[in-house]
Amino acid sequence: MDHGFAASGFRDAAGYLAGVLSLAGLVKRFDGVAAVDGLSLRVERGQVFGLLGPNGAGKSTTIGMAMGLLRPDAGRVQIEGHGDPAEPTARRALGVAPQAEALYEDLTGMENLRFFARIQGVQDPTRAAGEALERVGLSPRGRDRVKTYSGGMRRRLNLAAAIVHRPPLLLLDEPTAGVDPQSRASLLELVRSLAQDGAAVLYTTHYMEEAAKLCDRVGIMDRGRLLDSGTVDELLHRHGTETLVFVQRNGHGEERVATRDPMTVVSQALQAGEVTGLRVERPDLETVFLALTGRSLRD
Amino acid sequence: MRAEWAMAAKDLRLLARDRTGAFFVLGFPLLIMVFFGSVFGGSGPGKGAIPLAVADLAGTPLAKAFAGDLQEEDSLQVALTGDRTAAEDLVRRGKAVAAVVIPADFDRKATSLLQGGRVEVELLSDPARAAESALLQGMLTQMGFRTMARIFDSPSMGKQMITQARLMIAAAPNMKDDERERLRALLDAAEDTVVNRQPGPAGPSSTPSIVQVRASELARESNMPRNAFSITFPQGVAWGLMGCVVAFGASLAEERRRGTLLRLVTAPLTALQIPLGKFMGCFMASMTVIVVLTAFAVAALGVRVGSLSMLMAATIASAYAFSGLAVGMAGFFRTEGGARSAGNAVVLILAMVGGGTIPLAFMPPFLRTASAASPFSWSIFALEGAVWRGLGWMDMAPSLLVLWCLGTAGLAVATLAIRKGEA
Ligand SMILES: Nc1ncnc2c1ncn2[C@@H]1O[C@H](COP(=O)(O)OP(=O)(O)OP(=O)(O)O)[C@@H](O)[C@H]1O
Ligand SMILES: [Mg+2]
Repeated sequence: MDHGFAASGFRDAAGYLAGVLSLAGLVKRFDGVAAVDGLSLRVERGQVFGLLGPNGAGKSTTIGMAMGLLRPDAGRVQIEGHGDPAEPTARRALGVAPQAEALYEDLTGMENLRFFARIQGVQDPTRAAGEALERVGLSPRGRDRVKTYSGGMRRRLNLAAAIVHRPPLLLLDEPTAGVDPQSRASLLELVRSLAQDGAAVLYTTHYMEEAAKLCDRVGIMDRGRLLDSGTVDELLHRHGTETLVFVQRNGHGEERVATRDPMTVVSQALQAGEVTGLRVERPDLETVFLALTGRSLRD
Repeated sequence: MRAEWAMAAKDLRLLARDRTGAFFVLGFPLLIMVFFGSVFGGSGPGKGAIPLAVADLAGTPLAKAFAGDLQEEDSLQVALTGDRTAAEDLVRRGKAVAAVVIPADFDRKATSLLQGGRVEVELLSDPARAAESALLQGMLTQMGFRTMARIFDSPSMGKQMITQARLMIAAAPNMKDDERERLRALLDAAEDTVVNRQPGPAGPSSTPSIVQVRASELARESNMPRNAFSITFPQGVAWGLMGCVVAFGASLAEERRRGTLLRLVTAPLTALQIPLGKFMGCFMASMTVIVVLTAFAVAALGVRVGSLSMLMAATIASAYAFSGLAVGMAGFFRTEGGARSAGNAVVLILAMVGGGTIPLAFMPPFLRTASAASPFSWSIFALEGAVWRGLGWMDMAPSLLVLWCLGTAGLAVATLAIRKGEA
């Protein structure tokens, strides 16, 4: 699908072509407490950037500033080279799927999308709405009111509302939360194909498998800070070199050892005796998160 | 304009699908109109001028002055003739609520007051307008005092003022008897010191009023129930407009709660477009309400429309005003549910004060004055003016202007609120 993006031709101070979205040194405080604390990132065309972090990390706050809904206390948001995300041209480039679905319950799926297409100034709203509905697999239910939809269907419609005007930048805040594995797989596929069509996607999640599978680049976020970012391989290389060995002994809890040499740890544990359980985990984003924060991403 | 129309159409669709909202916008007003219209099958007028025919058969100075007093009365709209049948005709044709006949011997009778004479003024009123004719009777009696004041007018300013004070005391409807006595004593003492005492029947204690009203009925020829429903029809419209204001006043807060406002403010819309979309939705809903209610009143209740062009002007001005009120409220009470229900309470009070529940003629004077502060009363007045008051454009102009200003002010408030509070 062709998005027909015009090259912005914008170059930043250093002369680099800016990404579709670039956030620089963003700070947002609520009652003096920083929800986002000096965050910088950049999302390029055709790229899915995954913001991975636990509850309260500041993902939604970051998205809120990117879409111009929250005013940063410090830092800068640029969308397609526009310094102010509240500018109409910047907004036209924006498709948002908020964490809490933003839909009209008493309208049908089709009516919702047609309305959102209209306020975005789409030429043929009915066609655009039909296509978006098709893309999220909701065509058969398009004539039903949203209040009759299941949670997963709402999620999909919420995403459809973000893409109905084919924006070059998508801000998707946990678009798969509460969706069954099958729907989730098709949603991920959809996001992937949108990126292939040339969209830049900022995608938040706290599912690391999802981030690992979908995202070109991943940023690890905790307590308002972006601790590190890069491709999954880069992150694993930098922080995930240690394999986790879990050893359970008679009458004791599970002991966790992070090591670069799992074989030695395992043989030592076995020699010490009384081992009732043994588990080895390959490095993954979970390991990276643990290494960066000292905490587990899973609740 | 496309985005605004889309927003308006969306809001109208949502309103139509919300059964409670739709009921308060259309069902309830219809009920009010039909129910109260049949219960009070012929009662008081709405706000403002009561159409009155006056036949001055005397044409003498005091009679002319008496008629002039009636003409100057704001709450009356007087058609003056020198002919009894002409005046009666106006009542029969429903153009006037009542006819007042000033007898040919008015001046002679009035000046023979010292000999105990009385002027008998006839009041011929439409029996279906009992409340208004009661009001007129009281008014005529009061006018009588003014005639008396003219008679006792003296070159001495002090005396004139005292005389007038007496007249006012005598006329004050709500004064207790002992209070009245005390004030009279005070005036007597004042008169003693300021003016030479002039004994005589001028003493107010002996003069209730020189004008005696002889009331009789004069039925209108057409016996359509137009009068009662002419009163309740604008009331129904007021409630319908209130339904629109409440529905649209809440809709912005509702969008905020649902999160859909986020999609609106992140869309490429200007700060004016969002309230404008809401405004247009409310405008169309209000227009629909007025048109449907008017059509119903005309077709089913026999209400006759005096001037179609004025009705259109009144309808558009009212819809404009209340749409402004709605978006102004929406902008003003942006987030908290508490503030929102406070806003709704304000609208409810405005609707009631403005004649939505009690027709203005039945209100105590202070409420009647207060009703000028309610946009509903302006709207009702304009609608009534077009339907049955037979007003001219000049009479309509102030109401239309007030309504227009209100709508514009509301829109301005809403735009400012959105611009300030996007984040
Ligand atoms: N409007 C607000 N007022 C006060 N505090 C806020 C507000 N919005 C967010 N916060 C706080 O900021 C922090 C970050 O919240 P945010 O919603 O950005 O987290 P998140 O990463 O999206 O979490 P989740 O995965 O639960 O959605 C939290 O501590 C939250 O309580
Ligand atoms: Mg969140």
